[in-house]
Amino acid sequence: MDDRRLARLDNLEQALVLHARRRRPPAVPAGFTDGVMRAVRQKAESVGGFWTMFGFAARRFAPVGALAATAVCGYAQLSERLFSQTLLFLSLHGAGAYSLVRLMP
Amino acid sequence: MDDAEIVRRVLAGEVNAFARLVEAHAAQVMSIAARHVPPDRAAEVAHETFVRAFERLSTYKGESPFAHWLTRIALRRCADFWRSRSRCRETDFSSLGSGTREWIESIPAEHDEGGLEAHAQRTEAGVILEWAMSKLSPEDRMVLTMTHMDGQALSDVGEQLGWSLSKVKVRSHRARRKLRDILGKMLD
Repeated sequence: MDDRRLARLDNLEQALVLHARRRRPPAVPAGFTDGVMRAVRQKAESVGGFWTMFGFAARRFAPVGALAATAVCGYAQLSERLFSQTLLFLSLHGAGAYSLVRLMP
Repeated sequence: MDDAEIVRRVLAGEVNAFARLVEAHAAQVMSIAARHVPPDRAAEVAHETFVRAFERLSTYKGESPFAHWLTRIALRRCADFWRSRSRCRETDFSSLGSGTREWIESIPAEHDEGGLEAHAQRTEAGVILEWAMSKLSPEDRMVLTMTHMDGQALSDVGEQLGWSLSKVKVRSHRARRKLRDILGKMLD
């Protein structure tokens, strides 16, 4: 890079830095706080709205959910007991290990 | 009432108390935004900064001044602004107009303080500065603005960006070199 070009580059950079340092920040626009607070209240309401809906849904569906869970668990427990008793009955009446294994689900 | 007390009130459900924080720090956030994004978009970035601060208010632990915490959020918003803009189509230097080309050609080779001052006052300087800075990554742009343009202490910049001192030095040096490469191509 020749000296003349380097000197011009230095001056160009210096002029841009001077311009940047000279810039004054714009004033806060009128109604800025009100605008921010409107957005903030909307956020607060939407967060509050979510938990309100969550609470409502939990209260509304909790009894139904508890009943359904009890029914499913009870059915599984009953099925498991029936299956075990069937295996025991068959083994006591002479069923071989091979036949019992084939009964396994 | 200090900032930490206002934060506690807002977190306790007194949302309207947040307005006091906005009024107290609006000028500072606007000033940061105006240095890092185009002035006509500074109010928008400042607005987003306060909304984001409200969303993340529970993470403010009061260990550092609220203004420092808010500054970090504002700087991240500014970086986000440039990240979203980087997806837009790039502007070619020739499309900036003949005025900017003439301004570049009028840059002298001799050092003349008064002449440079006159050059710096022209609006073309702002256009070229914005164009050249838009070629840098958001992080390079940010660190260069803080260290080189604003003349902030490297330790302060590191604290605000959450970077180590050595990282600030290295990134600032590299960013300046990239800017000079871009400016050098304009002179060709």
